[in-house]
Amino acid sequence: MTTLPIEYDDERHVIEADKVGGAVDPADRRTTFADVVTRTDARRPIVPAALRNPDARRALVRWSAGYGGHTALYHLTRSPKYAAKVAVYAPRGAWRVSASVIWWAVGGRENFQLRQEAASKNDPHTWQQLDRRREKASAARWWVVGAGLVLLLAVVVGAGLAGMPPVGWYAAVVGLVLLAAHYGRPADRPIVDRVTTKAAFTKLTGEMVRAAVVALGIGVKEPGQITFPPPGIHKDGPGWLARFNLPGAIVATKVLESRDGLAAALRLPVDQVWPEVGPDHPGQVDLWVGYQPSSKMGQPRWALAGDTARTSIFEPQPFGTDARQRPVSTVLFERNVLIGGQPGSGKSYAARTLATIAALDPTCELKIAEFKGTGDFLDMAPLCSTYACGVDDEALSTGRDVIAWALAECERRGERIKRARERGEAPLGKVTPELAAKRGSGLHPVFILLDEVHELFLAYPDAADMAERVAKRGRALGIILVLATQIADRDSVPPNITRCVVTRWCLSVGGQVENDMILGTGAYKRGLTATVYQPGVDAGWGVITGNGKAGSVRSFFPDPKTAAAIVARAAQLRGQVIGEDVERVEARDMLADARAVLRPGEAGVPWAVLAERLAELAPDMYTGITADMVRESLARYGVDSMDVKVGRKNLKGARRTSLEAAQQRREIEAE
Amino acid sequence: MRGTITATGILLVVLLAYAGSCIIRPFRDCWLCDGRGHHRSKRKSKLSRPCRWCKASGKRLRFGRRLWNRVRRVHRDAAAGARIAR
Repeated sequence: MTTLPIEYDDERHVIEADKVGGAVDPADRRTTFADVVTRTDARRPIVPAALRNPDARRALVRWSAGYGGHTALYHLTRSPKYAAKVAVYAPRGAWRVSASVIWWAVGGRENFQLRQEAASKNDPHTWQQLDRRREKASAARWWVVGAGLVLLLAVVVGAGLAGMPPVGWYAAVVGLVLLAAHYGRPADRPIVDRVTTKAAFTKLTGEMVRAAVVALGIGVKEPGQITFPPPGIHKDGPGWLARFNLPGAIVATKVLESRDGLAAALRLPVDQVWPEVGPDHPGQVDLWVGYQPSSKMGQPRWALAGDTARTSIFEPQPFGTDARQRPVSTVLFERNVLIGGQPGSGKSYAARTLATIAALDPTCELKIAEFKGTGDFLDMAPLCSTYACGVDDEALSTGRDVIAWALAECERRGERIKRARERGEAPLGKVTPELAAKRGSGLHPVFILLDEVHELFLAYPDAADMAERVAKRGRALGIILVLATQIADRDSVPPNITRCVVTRWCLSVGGQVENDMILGTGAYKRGLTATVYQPGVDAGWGVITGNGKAGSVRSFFPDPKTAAAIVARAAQLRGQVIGEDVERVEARDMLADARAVLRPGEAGVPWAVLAERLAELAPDMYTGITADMVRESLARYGVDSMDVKVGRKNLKGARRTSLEAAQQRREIEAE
Repeated sequence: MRGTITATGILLVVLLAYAGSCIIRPFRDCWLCDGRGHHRSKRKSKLSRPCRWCKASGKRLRFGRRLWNRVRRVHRDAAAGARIAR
């Protein structure tokens, strides 16, 4: 059987209502007074939204001035060309106008074709009859023309007698000449040139969608197999939304997998075509096609880029936009975020939008460590209580210290929350906005951002364990952990951490494996595919889960000037750096230290003595160290616990020979 | 030279005016009956006889228009013949 086009026409839809049972709709009734007074219809504002806010007013004035100025200059530079055109068209227009007036007055158009037909057939009787009709119809027209001319003359004489200034005469002449030129120009040749080029505009039709999906070759054989549930293709934001059902058991992810194929079939750039899984069933696709490619559409202004911006991490704040240009917000409090993506996917900027929200909250402490070493957050450094940048030992150990501090802070905050709860200030055992804002409560929010965190976890595996504990415990205590990484595999970012982080934002990745490492196993199959984004082209785009509805989000990307203004605003809000730097614990080499504290001539030293001497050598590091701790630490280097003769007694301790052997071994291994 | 141009110009204007009159007023008065459509009778009592030259209409097609109609007809017939031949 061949499928006729009518069977899948847009107008046709099958109603599958269950016809069993009686009427269930309530009967219509008259509107009562109570109905009217309780109406909650939204009243439209009297003053348009664009004029209510001083910023918007200023923007409107600025736009009008810019547009008007450009138009004026544009036409001014082309005025000689316009003058030449007018000189050609005006006489023609004058001739056309006068000829058509005369032609009308003589009734030339009355049954013109019939008269010509009569003349062609040499039928004088008919012609004479037709000509008499023409005469009758146009009998009074000369009077009208004459009256018009007399009126014109009267106006001109009147103006002359009233003493019209020469400017007026010139204006009248110029006006008449322009009017004549208007009638004299060919219909397709405007006298003035076009000032603006309108952006290209794409309209999505059902035919286009059907043809494109069939062309994908995912099992849809005929265009008619695709159905559009009501209301069909419609406008949604700055684009079209086509919600359609795939036939049989073909799932929407098949379409999502070949987003670029779909774009090719639609003859549109890839960043104009945004397929998603539809809301009703897995075989439904929500295809959103913008009027323009998103790279050309720009991004709406970021609400946080204003001069008066101020945020609170307890309230939803915008950090990105979805494909339909709607802002996407998040509440940072109680949230840990994992941002993943290949190089060039816009990870650092995505993390930066979150850092901006935190920076504009004047109660929030910032700790930023980036292990890329290019200074992506350098301008925010003055706002941070701790800032580290680089892949060197110093930066990495600072990163570790930050996590260690956060873990210790969790401990301290737990106590504080407990006390606050006893006082009735923290009913849920969580930090509240009031507690966070209270001075000296020690419960202000802390925003910790670790960019390229895999560097840190590879260098210090213990940092990963601590980070996991911070992610688990810090949530309710106002400690926000944001981790950005290129790779989220088992070695670089332990799965335990990934599991503890609720919000995952996967920017452009290479394949399904990486996608699922960040978004969780099975995400790809559910249609959460960040593989559709291309690095560079789609920078900032990513799939976010654990922040409301899972979907595509593009981080805001303020230009350098705006970014600087935001940082300046944050600095102004804060006044001073919130919080204190972490204590930098200088990493010491215990083996070398143990070797250094051996006095000349000593063959060995007992553990207790060694501990004392180490504490003397570097009180910062070794205060409180016990004999057992020294033994355990040195055992890692292969220093055995052996008998050391002190006076007449034999005590367990480290021998010079074994210390030296351990040092040599390490040197050999290092080479 | 100047005379030739002037003469050509005048000729052109006259030709255009004549062509215009062939469109706007394609008929002129019959020269035989002076546009009356019938001949004057010799005797007062007898009815005048109709003009056979203008078929009693008193109007005759202008020469230019007659020529033009002839040209159009020839063209039309030739075009129709060509269509049938094809």
